[in-house]
Amino acid sequence: MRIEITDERFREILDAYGADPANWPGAERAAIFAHLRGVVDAAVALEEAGELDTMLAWSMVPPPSVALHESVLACAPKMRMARRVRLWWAGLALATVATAGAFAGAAAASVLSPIELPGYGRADATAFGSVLEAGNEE
Amino acid sequence: MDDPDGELIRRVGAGDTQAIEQFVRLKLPRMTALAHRLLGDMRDVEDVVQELFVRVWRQAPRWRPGQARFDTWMHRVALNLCTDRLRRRRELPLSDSWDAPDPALNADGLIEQAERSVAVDKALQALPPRQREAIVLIYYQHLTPQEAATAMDVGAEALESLLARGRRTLRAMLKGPEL
Repeated sequence: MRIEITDERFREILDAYGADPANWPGAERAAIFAHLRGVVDAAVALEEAGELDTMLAWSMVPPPSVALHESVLACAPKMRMARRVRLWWAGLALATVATAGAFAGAAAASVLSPIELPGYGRADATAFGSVLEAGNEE
Repeated sequence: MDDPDGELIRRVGAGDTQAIEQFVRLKLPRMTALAHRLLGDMRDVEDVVQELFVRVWRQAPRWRPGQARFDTWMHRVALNLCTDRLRRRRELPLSDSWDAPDPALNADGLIEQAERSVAVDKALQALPPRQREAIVLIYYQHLTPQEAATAMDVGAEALESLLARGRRTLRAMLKGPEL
């Protein structure tokens, strides 16, 4: 369907959307261009509307902080799950190493013969030998 | 409805970590800019953006393409979160009427880009909230008029009226010899 743009509608569009055709309603954009070619003072109207567009373009905003980026990612459910899975595997690896260490220790203890301590197992034994034997020696 | 983010959202909803990272790279600066322009300072921006993405992660797995663009849905949620935040700050004006220009905008020395940016931001903050939303969605977020109207839950004519009133106010505030 062919859309005709009146002078009034052209003005309304500039008043609302400014001079940048990218902001104009898509359905009317081609008709606005056609209208521009036929109107002598359209360039003036465009220029007036463009002044505010230029001023609006001065606005700058800071980019998101690294901390915000990290926290947004951290609250993504699958990212949380991926972290949990990584933690689970790390825990499993740690447990495996610990178990293997315990088995190795037990195996080594069973293979090596016990150390004979003097007086070990006797009722009169002390850390320094037999009390009775020590007394007897005096 | 053709959604340029459709495939990405599907992968995000399925838990594809690469897609999630890509989505954040793509949308976080855009949504942070939106919240910054609507809220005016960084105090609440990060809270609002964080909450927005919590909702995105919840919504993505059950998103059904075809009704609206995901980006438009995100803008609608962001607008609601910002409105709630402003309401809590008790900064909402009582009516959608014209606000007096900030005299500070005509102060000397507003010639550098940073100062100009501050001036534009102040002017935006002085707008009634619905006019500010319309201006930000069209000029800074580059939504189509239809998308902006959907995000704001208004008709096309109401959107144009908000835009035209907003532009008139901004022009009055910003057009000065210092700028």
